[in-house]
Amino acid sequence: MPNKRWLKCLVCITLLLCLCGCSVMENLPDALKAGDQPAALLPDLRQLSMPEPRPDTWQPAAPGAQVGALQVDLWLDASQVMGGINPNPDSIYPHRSSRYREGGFHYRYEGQTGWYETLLRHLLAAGEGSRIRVLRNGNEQFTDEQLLAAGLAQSSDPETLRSLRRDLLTYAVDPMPSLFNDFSAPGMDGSFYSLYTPKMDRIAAVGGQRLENPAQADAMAALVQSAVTGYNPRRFEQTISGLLTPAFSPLTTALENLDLNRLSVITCDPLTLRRLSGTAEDGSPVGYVETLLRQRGVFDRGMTVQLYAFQLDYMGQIHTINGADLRHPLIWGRLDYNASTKKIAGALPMPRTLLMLVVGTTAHVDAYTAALETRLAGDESLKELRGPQKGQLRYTKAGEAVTQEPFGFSWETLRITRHSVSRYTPAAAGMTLSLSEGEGSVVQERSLPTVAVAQEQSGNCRITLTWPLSELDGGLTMSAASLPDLQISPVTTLLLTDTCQNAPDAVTPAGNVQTLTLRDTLYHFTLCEGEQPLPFTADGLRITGGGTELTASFTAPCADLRPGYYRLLLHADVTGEQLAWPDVPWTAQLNANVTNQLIDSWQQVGEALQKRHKNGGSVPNLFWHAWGDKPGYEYIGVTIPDCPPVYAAPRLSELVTQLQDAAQIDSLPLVYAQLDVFVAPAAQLP
Amino acid sequence: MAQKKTRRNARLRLRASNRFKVLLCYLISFAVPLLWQWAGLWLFYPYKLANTAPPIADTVSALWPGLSGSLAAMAQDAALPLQGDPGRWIAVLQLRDRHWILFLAVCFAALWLLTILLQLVWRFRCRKGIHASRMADRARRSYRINMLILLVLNAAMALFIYLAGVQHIPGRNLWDWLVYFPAYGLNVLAAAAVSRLAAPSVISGKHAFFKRL
Repeated sequence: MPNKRWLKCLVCITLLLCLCGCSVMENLPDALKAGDQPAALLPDLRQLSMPEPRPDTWQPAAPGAQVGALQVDLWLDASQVMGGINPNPDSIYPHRSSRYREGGFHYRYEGQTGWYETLLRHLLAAGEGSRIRVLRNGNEQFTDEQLLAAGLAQSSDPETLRSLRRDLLTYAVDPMPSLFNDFSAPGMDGSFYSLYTPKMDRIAAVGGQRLENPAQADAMAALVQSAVTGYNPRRFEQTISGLLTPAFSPLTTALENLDLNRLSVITCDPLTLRRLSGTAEDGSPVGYVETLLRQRGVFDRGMTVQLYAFQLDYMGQIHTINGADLRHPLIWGRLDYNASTKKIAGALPMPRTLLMLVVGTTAHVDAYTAALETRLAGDESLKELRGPQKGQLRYTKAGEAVTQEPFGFSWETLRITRHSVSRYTPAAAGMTLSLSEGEGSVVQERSLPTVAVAQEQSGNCRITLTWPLSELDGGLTMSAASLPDLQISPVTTLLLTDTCQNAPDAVTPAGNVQTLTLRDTLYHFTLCEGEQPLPFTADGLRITGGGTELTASFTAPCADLRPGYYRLLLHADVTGEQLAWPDVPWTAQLNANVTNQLIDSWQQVGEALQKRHKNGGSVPNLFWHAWGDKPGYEYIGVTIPDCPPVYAAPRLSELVTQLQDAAQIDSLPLVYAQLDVFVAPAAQLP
Repeated sequence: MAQKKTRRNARLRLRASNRFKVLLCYLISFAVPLLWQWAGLWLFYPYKLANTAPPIADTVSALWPGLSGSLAAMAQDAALPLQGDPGRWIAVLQLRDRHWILFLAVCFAALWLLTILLQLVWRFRCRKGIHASRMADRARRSYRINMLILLVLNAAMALFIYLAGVQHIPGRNLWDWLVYFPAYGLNVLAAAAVSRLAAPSVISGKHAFFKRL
């Protein structure tokens, strides 16, 4: 009986317990309710610690040397063509006569002088308040050997030699505008523009203490004096042929010897540009101006070059045209001489283009050119028209006779500075990072943007970075065709490499290993830097959002992702070829192509004149000005070609191209984004 | 009649060796679950169940909102950071392990002490009696009830531990079951063992239900 009673009690208690249990289970607090049971294959990877990213030390091109007080070097072209000088004493054209005149850009007839003199005054005035040095930059050369032989330098240190050369070319320091009065004269013998003119010896006039190398003033004066006295004007041809090389011109002299700490203003007669490119010893093409600018590091220092093309009036004898050395010069502009009355009615200057480069820091160039352009625009004397009227002067152009009309002073300008592009980094304003495909999320508030990706999933995960498209500098535009390739490379990875038993005697591997523990297993995650295979593939750069956004994306098969961290570097570099320079229409209009065939044809005219007039004689009417206005005219067996394009700026396009090439970048980082990809089980994703 | 009365009122004399055997039986029996739990939590847990602790402080706080103070602070300390640095994650996981072990130890200690207490109460209630056979019958019945109570109490605690923590542990394996639950079964077995082997002499005998050591 007791056993039966006990059994009944037990059954009752069991039933009671079951009922109570059911009741309890129904009202179980949330804390006790069973949750989803995630598979725990890995320890919590959020314990992994990635090293701090290396700081992004990229800096844009230096904004230029420190902007200090403005100091200006005026490199004035003193070549003979600039002064319209006929250096050939046996020429059929008299140097001074009622009909033919010298003077070039700097001509003077009674009270009238060329606009160039006015321009020079404005060049001086634009830099007023600063220290201005005027350098006479002619065809003369002071070679390194000469400087060393004269004992001016003890070593061939380029900077020392450049400094000495600048001193030797110094014509005046802080001059008054009246300085330029002496440059023009009815007779140009011994003028500023004559070869080895006595005016080269200006060291005493300037004052040795105002030179860069005052201690060498006497020796430099002696060197200049010996050069001047050693020159025989009757041996001009031999002297000039020994001085000039295809690569040489006053422009290259100035660029070679620039003082990069100053603002340099370089005037250049485009006809003095004999050649702008040649071939190196290994046969590769060389651009002389480009090479010089690269060697001097002008654009590497963040400096700016502003190119001006002025239309000025010219009256003189042109003996050389871009390497064509004429035996008898071309007359371009002359006096209005009436042969019957033997009276001069006035000057008939012709238009010519003068180039000018302003080289310096951007701030200095901005300040100087703004002041100069303001002055030029406000000068009433530059607004008059000059030149022949009533069809007094004609020339042939493209097989047609052209009657010169009165013309005015004008200018075109072009700013050349090294490209800079907007750099798209994670720190750029408006950057968004997203996981456009796959399971995961973006983690904020890390030192690097981090994307957390779930490990156990099929398919691909795609990570996308989007920036608002900025307006690029330099007038450049970015198009889909010009977008560079997007590259992805590993910076650092922290991935699971090994597991071992969790035991008291477990040994942690040496090196950059982080060990996480879960249950009876130790998981070793190894930190690796540098190149290693990646499961990620860059999709490329795209322009999205209707042309307002730049999108970079990359993809990885989720199955190939290993747990841990991938620190990736996304980068896309723009090369110089991908950044086009803006079109400059006026250079094409002013440019003139000079071929060897043209040079030969121009030289044949000189030879024919020499042959016909070697015993003197009057000048045929045809050659009174610009070889006449009869296209295709035969003169003692020579077909007179078109008038050389002295009215234009021969080789201008090539010069601009070389300036742009010198400023061209090798590559610029357009996209540079470091980011972390955190791969973990879905349950561990933030 | 007087002799009979004297025998009834005389205290049973127990030899010292017998007392020692009883004490030893208690020590051994109740040490087994204690040792099991100690070994499980301090010897095996760090190498077999490391970093698996559920957020027990959080759970306990949720179960008893009235408990504030240090428990709330513990729960806050053991809360996983949303955007924490890795060092914080490591610290939190280690803290959770400590909280979990402390929780298990407290639960087990409470049940262990309760088991001993209930067993001793039963023992002391069965020490005196006039009719030994009747006393033995009564003790047998109360022993069964007592064992049932102990079984229910230990099972309830094991269930609570499962619901409060173990069910939230991902990837449970045999080690989880061995470390967290057998000690409660051993508690009941220990109580049964001491009841049957070290029962008061008045109800025990050589061939009786309650054996005499």
